[in-house]
Amino acid sequence: MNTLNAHGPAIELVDAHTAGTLAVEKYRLPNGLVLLYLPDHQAPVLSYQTWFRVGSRHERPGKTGIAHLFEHLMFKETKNTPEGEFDRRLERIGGRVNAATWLDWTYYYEDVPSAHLSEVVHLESDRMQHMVLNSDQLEAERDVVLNERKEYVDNDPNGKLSEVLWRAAFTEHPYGHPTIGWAEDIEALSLEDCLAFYGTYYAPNNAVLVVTGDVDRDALLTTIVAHYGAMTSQPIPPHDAVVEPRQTEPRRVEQRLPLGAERLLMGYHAPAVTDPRHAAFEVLNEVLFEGDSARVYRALVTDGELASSVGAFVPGFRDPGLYEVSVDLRPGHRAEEAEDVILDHFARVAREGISEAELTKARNKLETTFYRTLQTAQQRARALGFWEVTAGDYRHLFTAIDLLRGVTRAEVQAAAATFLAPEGRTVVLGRPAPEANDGADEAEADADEAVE
Amino acid sequence: MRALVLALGLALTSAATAAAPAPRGIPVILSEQRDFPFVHLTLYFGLGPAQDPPGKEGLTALTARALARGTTQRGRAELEEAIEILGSELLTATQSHAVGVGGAVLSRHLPAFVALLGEVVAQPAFDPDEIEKVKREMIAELEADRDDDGTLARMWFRRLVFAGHPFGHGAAGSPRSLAAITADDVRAHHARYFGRANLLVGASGDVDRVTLQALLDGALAALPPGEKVDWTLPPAPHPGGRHVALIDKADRSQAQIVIGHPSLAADDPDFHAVSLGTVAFGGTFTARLMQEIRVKRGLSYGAYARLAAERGQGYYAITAAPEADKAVETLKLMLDEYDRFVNEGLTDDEIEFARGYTINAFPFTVETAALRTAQAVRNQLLGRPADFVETYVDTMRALPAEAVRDAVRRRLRPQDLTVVMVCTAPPLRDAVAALPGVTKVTVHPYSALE
Repeated sequence: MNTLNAHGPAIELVDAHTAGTLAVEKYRLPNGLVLLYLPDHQAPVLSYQTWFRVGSRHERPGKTGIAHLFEHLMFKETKNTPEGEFDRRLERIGGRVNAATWLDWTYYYEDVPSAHLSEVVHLESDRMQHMVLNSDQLEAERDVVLNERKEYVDNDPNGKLSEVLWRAAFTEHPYGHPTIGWAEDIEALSLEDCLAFYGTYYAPNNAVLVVTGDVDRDALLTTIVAHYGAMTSQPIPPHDAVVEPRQTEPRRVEQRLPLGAERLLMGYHAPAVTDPRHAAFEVLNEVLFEGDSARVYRALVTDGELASSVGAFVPGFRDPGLYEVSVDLRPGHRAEEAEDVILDHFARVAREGISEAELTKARNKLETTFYRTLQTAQQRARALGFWEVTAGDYRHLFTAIDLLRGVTRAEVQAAAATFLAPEGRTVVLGRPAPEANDGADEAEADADEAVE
Repeated sequence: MRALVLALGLALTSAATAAAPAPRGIPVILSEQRDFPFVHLTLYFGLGPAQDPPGKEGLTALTARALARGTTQRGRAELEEAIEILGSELLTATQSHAVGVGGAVLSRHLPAFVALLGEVVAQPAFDPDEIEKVKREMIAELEADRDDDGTLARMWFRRLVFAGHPFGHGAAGSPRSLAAITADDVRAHHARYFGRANLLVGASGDVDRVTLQALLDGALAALPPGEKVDWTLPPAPHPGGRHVALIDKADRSQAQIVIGHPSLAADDPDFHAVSLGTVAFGGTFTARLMQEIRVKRGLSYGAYARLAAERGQGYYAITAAPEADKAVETLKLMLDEYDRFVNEGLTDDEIEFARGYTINAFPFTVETAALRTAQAVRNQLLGRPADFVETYVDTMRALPAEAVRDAVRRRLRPQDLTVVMVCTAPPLRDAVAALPGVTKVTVHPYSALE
């Protein structure tokens, strides 16, 4: 380890890593705050991201949704910054400001013209230690979050079915409850809950700063030391790593929704993002689902004409997450028809593996995706923050692409046999609700009837 | 996520983006960037759904999709394999002002990709069986779209606001109009419009101009000129009064609301002024709409206003999604705020704030080579003046506040608009009919979108 002399013991250079044109430096303050720095001077902008190692996995039963609700509240008020001032100051300088919460993490970002680094550092460091809250703010934001839930879960068939799938697939692990929270929990969260959450998890030693773009190193380190150096670390409660019991038999749930056609969701417990088999699983997914030539896509959409769309999501989480497959059936087709086709393809790939051409195709496509998702300062910061917080080391970003290049056909076949085994399957069948159809039929008679 | 991220909605580029004619007259916009070994390449044809013949709405989008279903040299499956082995996917997209055919590819495979793209646009097979397949796919997608309330609201909004106008249908048309399209229609549409007269190539990444032009020159040599699209459009209807259309769906605990009307085209002289006013009214988190609807009252997760830049004829739209029992309260607030924005005007402080945001955010629109190319392409295809980009920041900086208020007052019409609300209609119908200025309320089964 090296110490950057210009800043004395105030900040330590932990390591540096170069991959192609990307040169990342990792620093740490004595209070435990980590800083990742990736310069790029192609445009006069920067992305400033603050990642906290807290997500919905840390929530207790009855308190679900607090990580996400608190993310909203972080934009309210501090001892030094009146309500609304945070957004006004950043938008005035052209800033793009937002945040996101998921299972393992919460992060906040500000993309601003590079001349305004100091403004961002000031505002972000302020709210890491000086947040204040009152009940009016909580109540207003609670309503916003409940509306968000209605929009993206309760009134959205995809959101609803996905929530049902994860709930059914996890019996013990907190990945089974939704990040946005159960509605009754959101309604019950108190001001004390929120303040306790802030006091527990929002500490420098639980955070990673990521700064990318047109930023000078010395100016950055100076301002980071000045604004964060005096913060004190605090004990972060050890997180109980609940191990989800191995699923021993398939699970099945049927859900009635206002749909025009049936929908199918399937979930399989998939490797954690640091699992060496994760790369092979990504290749497997490419072969089966991604692109016009993918096996299942062709079988269900282009050739079979059973579905209007097919999608699959490879989880990138700290613990084993859920490989989620979703199918929108065409009218007149049953979800079970698609399920049979998918199961047949899963069994075949576990039995016979994939071809060399399929492996080459998947590797090339994943390589293109890797480059395509590292274009902007924001994308680069997000990738670095994700890997540092989720995997414990930002360098996984670069080793992940090397691992993908090295995946073998045998590894892909083994991944299919291991992770797509029938007993690990959870299925959610979305059926059109009869009352919705009835309602539409009755209303047909009144179509376009004007009420003056 | 605290708020949905919206695209800025402005067409911008940098002077560094070079546009020049290719050797055979094909204009190419290229932004080089060499940090990664890959290239974005898209062939744009300057036509859209407005060029669909009446009764055959969806023809442009269907033709674009059918391009990817095989060529005279290889069938669909072989074409898909040939493209994807290169690390690419062939993407076709139909926007209001252009059709795009292209993708991202590893630069070591660029020559093969360009050759395939040329084959796709110049020698499509248009096999009747494949065209029938694409039609069935598009019909199934239209039906699936109706399950998403936000998408459904936008579909109905376009249909009602542009009723009887070439913009009065989405790119995919309707199940009925798609069913009426034949393989001969597709071939004729392609021969007429998918030619060099309407072609613009957008590229960015790890390639130089000489190399790219040589590749394009070879690959597109067989592409005929076709007929230049005439973008002269009739004026959109803009009837007086407030028409509320309730799109009835059972068991909704939330309403999706879109209100608006036809508005300025992308090249209108008032576009900058109305656009700047819209940023202040509903373009940021601190703008009036978000503050009044979400921050002060918690009525909706999002609340935005948008001046849509389209070629020949744009539209103005304001959106929110309140819970069902606060839908009427929220709609009234949206209408009142829109009226206040137009008729009472923004304050000088609001305009200066929006001006600072817009000018300072400019670099994000040209941050990468792909963004620079995309903005330059979009600007050209929207028919904007050649100096739109170069003068953009200076124009925004020089706009007097009074000119912004004046343009907003002259060009926006809060008393004459369409409200689309996807909701469970019966409990709301009487209450919306009683709202100020409402002259007509119609109720439509959500599935009745034809």
